[in-house]
Amino acid sequence: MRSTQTFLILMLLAAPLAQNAGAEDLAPAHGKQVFELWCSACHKPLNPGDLPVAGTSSLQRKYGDSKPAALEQRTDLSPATIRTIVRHGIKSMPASRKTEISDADLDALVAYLTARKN
Amino acid sequence: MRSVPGVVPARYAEALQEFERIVGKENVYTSDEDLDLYRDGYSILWGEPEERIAAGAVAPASVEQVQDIVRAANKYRIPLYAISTGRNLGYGGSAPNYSGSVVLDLKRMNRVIEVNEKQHYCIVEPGVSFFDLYAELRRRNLKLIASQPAPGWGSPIGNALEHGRGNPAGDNFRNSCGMEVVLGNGELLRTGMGALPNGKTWATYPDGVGPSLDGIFSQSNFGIVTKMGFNLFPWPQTIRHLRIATHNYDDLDAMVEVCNALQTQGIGRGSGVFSPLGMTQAPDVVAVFTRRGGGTAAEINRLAKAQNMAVFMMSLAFAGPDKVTQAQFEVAHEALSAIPGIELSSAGIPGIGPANDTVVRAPDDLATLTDDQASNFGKPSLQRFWEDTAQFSWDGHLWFSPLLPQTGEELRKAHQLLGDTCREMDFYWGLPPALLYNSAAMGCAASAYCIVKNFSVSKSDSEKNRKTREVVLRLIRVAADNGWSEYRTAPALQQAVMDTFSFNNHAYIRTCELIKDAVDPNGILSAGRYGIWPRHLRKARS
Repeated sequence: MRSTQTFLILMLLAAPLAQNAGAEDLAPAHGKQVFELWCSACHKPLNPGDLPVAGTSSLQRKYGDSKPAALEQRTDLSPATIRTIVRHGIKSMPASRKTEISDADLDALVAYLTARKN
Repeated sequence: MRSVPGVVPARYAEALQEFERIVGKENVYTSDEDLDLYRDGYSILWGEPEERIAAGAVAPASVEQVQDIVRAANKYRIPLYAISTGRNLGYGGSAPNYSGSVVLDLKRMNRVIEVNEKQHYCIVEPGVSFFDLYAELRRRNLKLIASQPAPGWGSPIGNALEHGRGNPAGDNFRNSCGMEVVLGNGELLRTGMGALPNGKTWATYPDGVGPSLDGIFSQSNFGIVTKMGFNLFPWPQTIRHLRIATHNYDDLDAMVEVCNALQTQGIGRGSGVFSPLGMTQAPDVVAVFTRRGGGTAAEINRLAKAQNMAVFMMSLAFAGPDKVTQAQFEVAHEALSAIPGIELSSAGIPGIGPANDTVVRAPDDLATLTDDQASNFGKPSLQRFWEDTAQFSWDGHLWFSPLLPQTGEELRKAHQLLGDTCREMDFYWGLPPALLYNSAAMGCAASAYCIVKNFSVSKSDSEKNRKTREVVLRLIRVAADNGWSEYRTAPALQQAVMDTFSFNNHAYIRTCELIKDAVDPNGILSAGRYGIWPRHLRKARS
């Protein structure tokens, strides 16, 4: 997990680059950092013997074997779903403020989590 | 634009313009869409008229900006409510105590100011989370531990100011040393040796000269803490655990007594009382704990035998050099073995502790450990939230967490009386855990048990939330009548708890109000926090 300082520096670097042709390629990379900083503690893949975590374990309970429980392995997440859950929360997962996940961070997170889309 | 009580919209608009000038327009939030992010997702008042709602939010990046905002708030009489990371879920989150306040969101103040490897301390800003601090320690490749609570997204400063409990320090506030505070008039104060310009022991000697002021900024609204020092702990060479269990309800007193005697000699730390039986949802067990009286000791013992589950379990952790922890383990094992009927050979329980013969050794690389093991070396997580979401499918939780004397007799009495209060109102009590609330790692023998009972919070059933408020208010009263009090509580209940601190005609809150009027004469800061109101919002005390 990277420090917040590193994270902010990367955000500043990402902003001017976003105007270039390669912006679409960079967004998922930044999105992965956002995921690791803000999401992975509850939504990481679980290996045998791992303790349960809120996100992965509740999605396992909800979907069983019909969908992957770990978000990074999903191919069916829509941008609207990701945005709604980050900004409104769901069940015990609270909403994230813009001082935590900025709109630019959220764009990158959406790009990352939808990159594997079917 | 939302409204601020007692402030005409035009003046509030002027204040917002001034906030924008100080922090930039992009760091002032006024739309409903943005301000809904400042609702407390775990509020027991969710969706009701009494829910505490922000009128705005402003996010400074420096202490100078905090001072300018406070001065502007004084000028326009805007109530502010300071949050650090805003993740104090179950205790307010990022919402204000007083509806119509502007949240002072300190999340952008996220610098780790200093880490001292040789003297084992750090100085941080309020927006730094336990995850951030851990990442910084790892980035520097320092084998140091920051005392942390269960939720890693919390703030060391915010958590300590709430008297949050952490591992390995115990009370994280007692583990702090030195603070910087913006007072209600915008003036900057440094406490302890920080009051000495260039004081070199600000984060290592807590007192300075004259009265110690740090305590008045915990669970209060006298200032905004912008820096704070904390002790760090070196990675122990080894960690050993010794867990004891019993199938006999009445063995608790002896277990507690022996563990206390060991801990006051510095042998072992962190022992709480857990009840595997009380936490199970087996129908036969639930039936007994639901019934009035909660079952006799004999009935509980029969259940424990039938379910093959311990009634009570305690654990001691020994952390330090291998030879020392081995010797401590042996001394404790011998002392605890002398208690008739006690079991010392229980297998490991995920999330509670490994088997008694397990020795966790400090690794070269934390990645070689499980998350459970790595937590002993300071790796934070959010693992405990699985109980709410994955296990119970709750929308959030509300803690009832009274402190009790550290004896088995008192704990059994609390389970009986508080359990009966719940049962009379059709709430389940079971035998919730009691954590040891102390500062054992700092050589402090005095300690107390803290029962941690969680209630579910609903975002769709306000009637259920109302009943939960009602039962917790009754529990607060029953606890107070027996000399127990919560150490910390949700905003919706803070007034009720403070009202029970009534010695000598509420001398405590009256003194708090004297201080409030002196350091924050316009009543700008965090109105209502822990029942401390500024003069213009104070109601007659019954």
